[in-house]
Amino acid sequence: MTAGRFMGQAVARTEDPRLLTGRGRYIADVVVGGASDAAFLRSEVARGRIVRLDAEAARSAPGVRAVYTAADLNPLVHDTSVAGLPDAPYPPKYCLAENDVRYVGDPIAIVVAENRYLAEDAVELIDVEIEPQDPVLDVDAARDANSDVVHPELGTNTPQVIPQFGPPTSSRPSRTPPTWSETPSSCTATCKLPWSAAASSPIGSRTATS
Amino acid sequence: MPRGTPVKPAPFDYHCPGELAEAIAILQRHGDEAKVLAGGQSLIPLLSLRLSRFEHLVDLRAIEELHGIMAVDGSIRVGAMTTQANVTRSQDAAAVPLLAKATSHIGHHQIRNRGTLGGSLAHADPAAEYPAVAIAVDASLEVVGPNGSRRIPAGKFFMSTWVTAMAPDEVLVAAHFPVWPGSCGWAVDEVARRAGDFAMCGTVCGIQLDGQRVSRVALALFGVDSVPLRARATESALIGAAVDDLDLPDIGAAVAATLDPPGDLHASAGQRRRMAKALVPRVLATAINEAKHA
Amino acid sequence: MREIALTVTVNGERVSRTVEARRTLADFLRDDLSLTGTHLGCEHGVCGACTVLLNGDAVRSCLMFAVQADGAEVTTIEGLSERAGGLTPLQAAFQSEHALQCGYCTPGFVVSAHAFLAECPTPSDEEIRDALSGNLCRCTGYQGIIAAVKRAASADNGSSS
Repeated sequence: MTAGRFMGQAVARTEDPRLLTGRGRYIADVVVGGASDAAFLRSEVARGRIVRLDAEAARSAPGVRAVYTAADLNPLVHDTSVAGLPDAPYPPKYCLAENDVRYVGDPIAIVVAENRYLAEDAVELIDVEIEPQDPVLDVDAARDANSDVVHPELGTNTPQVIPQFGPPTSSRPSRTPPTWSETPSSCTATCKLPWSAAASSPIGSRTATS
Repeated sequence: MPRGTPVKPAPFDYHCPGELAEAIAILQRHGDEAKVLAGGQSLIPLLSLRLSRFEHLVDLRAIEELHGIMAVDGSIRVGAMTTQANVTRSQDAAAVPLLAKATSHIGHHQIRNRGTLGGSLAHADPAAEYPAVAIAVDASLEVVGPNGSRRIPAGKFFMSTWVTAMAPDEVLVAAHFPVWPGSCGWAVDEVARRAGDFAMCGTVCGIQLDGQRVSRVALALFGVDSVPLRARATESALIGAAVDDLDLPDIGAAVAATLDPPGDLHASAGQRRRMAKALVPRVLATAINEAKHA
Repeated sequence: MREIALTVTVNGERVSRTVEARRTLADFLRDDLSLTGTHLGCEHGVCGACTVLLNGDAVRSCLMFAVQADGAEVTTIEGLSERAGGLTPLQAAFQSEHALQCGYCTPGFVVSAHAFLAECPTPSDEEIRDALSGNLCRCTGYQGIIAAVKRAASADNGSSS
């Protein structure tokens, strides 16, 4: 084993020449004959009931190969696994929104067509009506007994309570930093950070073409 | 209203007439369904995101008379299809220093290589730089329609957000920017979240000195209303004043107090007022300094 | 007039096609001409991944329809690269300065930097930052990219890097 070959050396990456000259192969560069492109119909409201969804006009639009709604795809999905804590019920993940939408961007239908242009044209032909409902937007609203339950399947907006550990006591060894109770002043701040687990953008995802 | 997240435009018929009269005829024939395409740096994103759509696009790039910059009657006439990058490169346009100074704030160099001066004026975005320059120097806009050619003073051209005094079948062909003689200085400054972003508040200033006294001044603001604003009351108060006696922060505060800016996702009304209060003294100082050394 | 005939010179080669008027220059280059080095990031003119040269000027190919390039000369990242393989000094500078990780934004940066250095061969750090502000990178944090452009500029001007 040549231990000295890489240790302490600046090692040039082997992929850089390809990437610098436009010869990288990203998923959109992979051309498969007869492949389709997809476009999504998504919710524009944070919460609402799907009153009407009719994809017939989209199905017969030029270049369209298929239009899928929850009725088509959801029964085919057998398991969505989500890493979570033991005995912690997690909101259900639907392939496509079934009877209601639960965040802005919630996908309702997929149009599969010859190319992205035609797919997006067909999305506009889908007849959809959503009756907006009041969204539950923060922790306080979620805990309020008067707020609607966002996921009826869970029966509650607070499916799990994680105990918060209190401030350390003053009986700690002196070499540790001052404890909360010893600090000369303190302040309370409320931070509202916009975050939605359901609506988060994919980072570090894997893609496949078929 | 788009209900997906489109990135491709809806279909349209594309026209690329070689003559202005032909362009106007197409606009007349199709009314609201037709739109002029200049550099496309504002229009194409709107079309791609399907926030706007038109059945017909009329590309003006082949119409010779819309290009070119020349000195005419004490003004610089800039053809509407002149790219923002070419405004900066033009020796003739240098006679109106505000043009190059404003251009450096517009977007990024890739945008400026396609975006046009005429397109920016006709699009009339409240946060755009060229409309503020136009009203600052009392430019006039040369517009041609089925009934012929007319000149619209900049002060009457910008009506509201994305609305100008042009009729749907009229085409902006050129903008005339008066040249100021004498010892002049100029400045443009704005506050944007990142380089190239839309300005939350911007200021344009021109000053002419007669010795130590202000003989002429123009002060305009953008991003603080649906149209660019001219601070005429402040300008009048400055005429005849000795430059070194001016309390610039005071002037900034006075201008800010006249504003009733909108509050939105990018900045509150209060923030915009505070930006104006800080920017006005800055552009005045820069312009005065430049005029002193002119 | 939904379909338009166009003739455009791409990387030195004359190409004639009939395309839908709404087809962007970016999609024309990638899908019709298989020049996939030009990338689509935002498709609304913000990220710069789609930057190409039009008659020598850096432009956002997602903010142009292919038909607007009729009669013009387009240069993509492939056209700026050595045909026989190997890297141009600018590309080599990107590699030495670790100015790329995933590489998705890289063609856009290389094309933009190429155009910038042609017009401004001895830029200050501030000018480099300003010139690169129209290109977004999610991976590198930009410092390597700025160093690469600076390195390429001083190499071009004969001073040691």
